[in-house]
Amino acid sequence: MQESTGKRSNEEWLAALGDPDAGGAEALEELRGYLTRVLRKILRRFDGLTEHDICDFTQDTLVQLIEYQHTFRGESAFTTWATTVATRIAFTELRRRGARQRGQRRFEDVRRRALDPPSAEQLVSQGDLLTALRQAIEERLTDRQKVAILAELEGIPTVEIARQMDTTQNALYKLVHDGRKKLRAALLASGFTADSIHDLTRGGFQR
Amino acid sequence: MKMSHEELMTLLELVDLTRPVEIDCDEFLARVSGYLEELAARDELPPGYDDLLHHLRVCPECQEEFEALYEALCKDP
Repeated sequence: MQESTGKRSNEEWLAALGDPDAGGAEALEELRGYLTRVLRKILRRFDGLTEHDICDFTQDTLVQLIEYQHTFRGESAFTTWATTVATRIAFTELRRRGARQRGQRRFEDVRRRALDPPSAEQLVSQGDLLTALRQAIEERLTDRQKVAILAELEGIPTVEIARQMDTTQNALYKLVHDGRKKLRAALLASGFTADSIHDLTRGGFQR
Repeated sequence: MKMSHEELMTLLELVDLTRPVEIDCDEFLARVSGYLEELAARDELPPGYDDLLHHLRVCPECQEEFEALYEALCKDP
């Protein structure tokens, strides 16, 4: 599946993480080399990334792996899991940078729009199901859910949304999921069937 | 909330996909390595990962990371 890092078992990798200063040092350097190479490959489509960036991402990953080694479930090779962690760390930082470049104002604009009620014209012009959805948004969602959902629809990275809303990304996911469940329940309670909701979306989900 | 028609349709698609119980991004990260290895070893989708695949449909950020991992580890190792 991927280039080999040698013949270390998962247990040997975990033992090295548990003893990074002494016996694990050689293994960690091997892991550092592997992660550097695989991140170069994974991130090759991003223009403007430097070797310094790759090294930073690798170092951050090693720190995370040492701290969160207890979360490894053994469902894959350790190095595959380490690669997914490295990818998450790198992508999150790249999204954070992109959000910083776009500035604070964009989130404030989204917040304003999220809390601005739809016009009467919008409420009647969209057809029954979409009208019902607009009404459910106003009646069932909290202000925080409205802001979070609109920010995600606008493509603002979740790391940035979570920072702006003083929460964590996982708490943000739960907030939005709860909002989606409320909207679904409201549409079903209004008499629409799951099939009728699905039929209207049959054009496919593309963002 | 002032939304365009396109935003409303995207939200409706997400509502359509919504399940009572969904895994979050941390749970996805904990399990995706196993899925990638099974995918690389088989000619077909491995069983037992329906919740993971569903998460990919509602989470574009995890989808983006998964595609990059799949390209690097499975398609062009």
